Amino acid sequence: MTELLPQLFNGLVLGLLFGVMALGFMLILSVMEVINFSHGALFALGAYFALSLQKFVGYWPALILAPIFVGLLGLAIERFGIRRVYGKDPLFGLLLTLGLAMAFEEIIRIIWGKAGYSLAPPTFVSGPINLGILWYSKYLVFLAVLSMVLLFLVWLFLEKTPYGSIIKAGVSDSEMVLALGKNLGKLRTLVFGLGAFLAGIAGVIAGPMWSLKPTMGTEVIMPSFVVVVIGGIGSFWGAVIGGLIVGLSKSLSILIYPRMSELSMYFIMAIVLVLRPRGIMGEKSLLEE
Amino acid sequence: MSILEAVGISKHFGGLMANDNVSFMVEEGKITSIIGPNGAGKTTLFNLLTGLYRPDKGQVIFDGQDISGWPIHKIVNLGIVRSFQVLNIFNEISPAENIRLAVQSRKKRSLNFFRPTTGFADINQETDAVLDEIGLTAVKDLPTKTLSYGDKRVLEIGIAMASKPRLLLMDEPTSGLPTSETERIKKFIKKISTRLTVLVIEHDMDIVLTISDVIIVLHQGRVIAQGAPAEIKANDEVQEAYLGGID
Amino acid sequence: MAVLRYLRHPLFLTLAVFFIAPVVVMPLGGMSLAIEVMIWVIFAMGFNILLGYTGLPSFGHGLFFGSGAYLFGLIQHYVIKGIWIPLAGSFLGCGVIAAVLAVFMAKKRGIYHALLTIAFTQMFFFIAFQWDAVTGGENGLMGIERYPLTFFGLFDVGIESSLALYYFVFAIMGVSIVVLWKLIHSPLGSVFYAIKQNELRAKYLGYNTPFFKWLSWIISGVFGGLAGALHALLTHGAFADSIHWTRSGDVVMMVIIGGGLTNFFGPVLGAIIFIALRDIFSTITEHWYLFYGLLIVLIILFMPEGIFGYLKVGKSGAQESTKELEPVSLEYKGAE
Repeated sequence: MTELLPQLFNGLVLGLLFGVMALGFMLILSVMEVINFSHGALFALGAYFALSLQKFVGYWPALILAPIFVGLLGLAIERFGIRRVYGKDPLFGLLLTLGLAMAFEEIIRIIWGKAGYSLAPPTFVSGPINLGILWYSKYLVFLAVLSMVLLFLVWLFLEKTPYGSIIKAGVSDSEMVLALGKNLGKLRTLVFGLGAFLAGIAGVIAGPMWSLKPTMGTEVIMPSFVVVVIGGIGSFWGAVIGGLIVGLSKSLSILIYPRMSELSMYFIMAIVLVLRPRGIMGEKSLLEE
Repeated sequence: MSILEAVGISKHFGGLMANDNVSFMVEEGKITSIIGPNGAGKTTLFNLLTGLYRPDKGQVIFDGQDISGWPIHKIVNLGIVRSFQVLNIFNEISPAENIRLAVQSRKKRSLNFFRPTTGFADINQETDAVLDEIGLTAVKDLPTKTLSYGDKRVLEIGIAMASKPRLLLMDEPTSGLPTSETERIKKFIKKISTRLTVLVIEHDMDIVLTISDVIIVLHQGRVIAQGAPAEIKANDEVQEAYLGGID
Repeated sequence: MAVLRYLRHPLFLTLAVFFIAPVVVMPLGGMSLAIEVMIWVIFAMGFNILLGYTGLPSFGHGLFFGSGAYLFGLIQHYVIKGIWIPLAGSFLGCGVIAAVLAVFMAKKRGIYHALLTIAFTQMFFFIAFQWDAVTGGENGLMGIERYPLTFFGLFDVGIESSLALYYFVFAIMGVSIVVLWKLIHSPLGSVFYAIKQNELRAKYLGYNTPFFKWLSWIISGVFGGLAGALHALLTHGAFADSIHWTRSGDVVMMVIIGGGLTNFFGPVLGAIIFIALRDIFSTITEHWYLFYGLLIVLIILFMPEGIFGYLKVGKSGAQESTKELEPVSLEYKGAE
């Protein structure tokens, strides 16, 4: 049982990170009705950009700049790619982003090589910290705090700013937003950029915890999907709660049956689908009958 | 004999009360019209009667049977069919195929997976008969997208007819049509009313007043009047709801 | 002459091409590849019933392919050392899997539907990967043999050699294509297509659309399983990576490249092109993954209607009279 506490904490930290990832993914899904397969690749790019930038500007600037680059990339992807398939069969958006994901992964391999890298955490957050009930990694605490800050900032943006309310409206009904006369195109570009930014920054902060390899993106894309199904489309808290559930299920199931820890989130997803098909906090019922 | 009865039907969307305690009866064999200003909740009512929405409160009774909350296809199979205000046809297939699909469903041949669709003589015959009745025989194999709006409107109704309904709900069948074409629809409704019951949402007052046996007036989700055309014409509340009155 | 008209029928042409292909392919040493193409044709055409004809985007069909392969191997190992029974077992087994999964899917549409298919397929992938005892885990299920085909105990036909296997697969592909052709032109096929165009109106015609979507799933699932089983026969093994969602992406691309969204034979062309490109790319460069990704992006952006669509080859589906070629977009025709 001495392992339970650290694993519990691990699960929460992981869960918060998944929440950030899934939030970006969910916003894109809800507002634009696009499954962004490149979300994982953007996550990876965030980490790799930070890796390179760190050598020049140090940790904190890299933490801000790398996601910004990823966000800009996201804007470009939407402007030149996704916009062209908007309104068509959702499969096209899916395939487009899948193609991009593959291309990005290979580009990472070409530029940075196949070997894994470690992104060293900044010195002030490396090492252990005494949390009272257990000794824990300082970095993981930092990660958790940073994730919570990010989630809070996004929440603030959605709830308290005019852009945020438009996005929220877009989440429930993009047609209504059109009717309101707002520029749907700009909104979609913004949302995709925001989603990409969130993926990128998740990559940067996850970097020290995960080792960097070209395929790291594919490891986070599925949890994002599952979080959205569990938490429900169109809900901020759904992404957060879903993220925590997935994170906890992964880490706690390691205690029980390590080899099936990947599967645990799928089982939970299946249960949610049976008992509450639209997700725990899902609202969007246009996607089902 | 009432074929359809709405009993206290209510439906809200968010804060909006789209239908509020709507009750009325439709008599078999008669033509009943539903009128009301835009936003009165007429199409919502059709959606509730046909199973697209579930009423929050109240019942829908068809032929004495409570069908509230039934799925659409089950209601259709009972004999309640509906045509849409906004064209809702199958655009990628020919008009004949549109009709054939409706006939095929009724004849319950849909599970056949090895005979060609054209290989059923009875389905073919009925399809041709419907096409003939609605006057689209000449264009039946042309791409549906190339049909005139008027023809598409007729096809829209024709698809509903092909299901041989006992009760046909028509949502603004003359929507978007020039007056020259509305005569065609009006005559059509009169013709079919001899063999089935018609419940129609209409804006065109000429049609409503000349063909209806009963008129139901909806305003802001509520029934504010129902009765014979003469009564409705004389009703002050109705006059008020429709600025300018019905003359 | 009526016979001549038969000869020009795309069904006949397709089968004829594959029938005489070994003459060209064998000297070039490409028999394995050619067999693989036919297997993917079966897979893609069955899949297209769901995607192109019923309009349900599935990104998880790899799971049927993989399950078909595993079932084939498992039945060979534990039940009977033969071909027909394992084949039938894969076919039916995948039908059951599809029937169960489709219950979750039949009421969903559009992206949510796609999302679920991906999630389910990954679930299967992990089970296949981790369940060592049954599936052989990372190494896969090995030792799948090409036993001779028995015909009611009267005579045997060996399929050890590439040529023999080729014609065995060809026969199955031929039957599959004919069956699917009949299906598309049948009442059931017409309902699928109606659902794709306008599911709401289909309901208002009295069709129980979730039920038909469920049927479409089963049909596409069994052909996926059949293809997987044949693939196991070809490679003497069943592997988890065929279930991975990226493999499912392959079959979707095949359908789209060829123009399967608007043409019955699109998947055939798509399969040929896809396998050919994959082979070419991987021999040229170690970074073929990049080119593959870029190819997908370019096709989606500039030629989403696929080759047959681009060339404006008429739709030889249930609707002969239409020349319309745009992939029909799924619109959320919910409440008016």
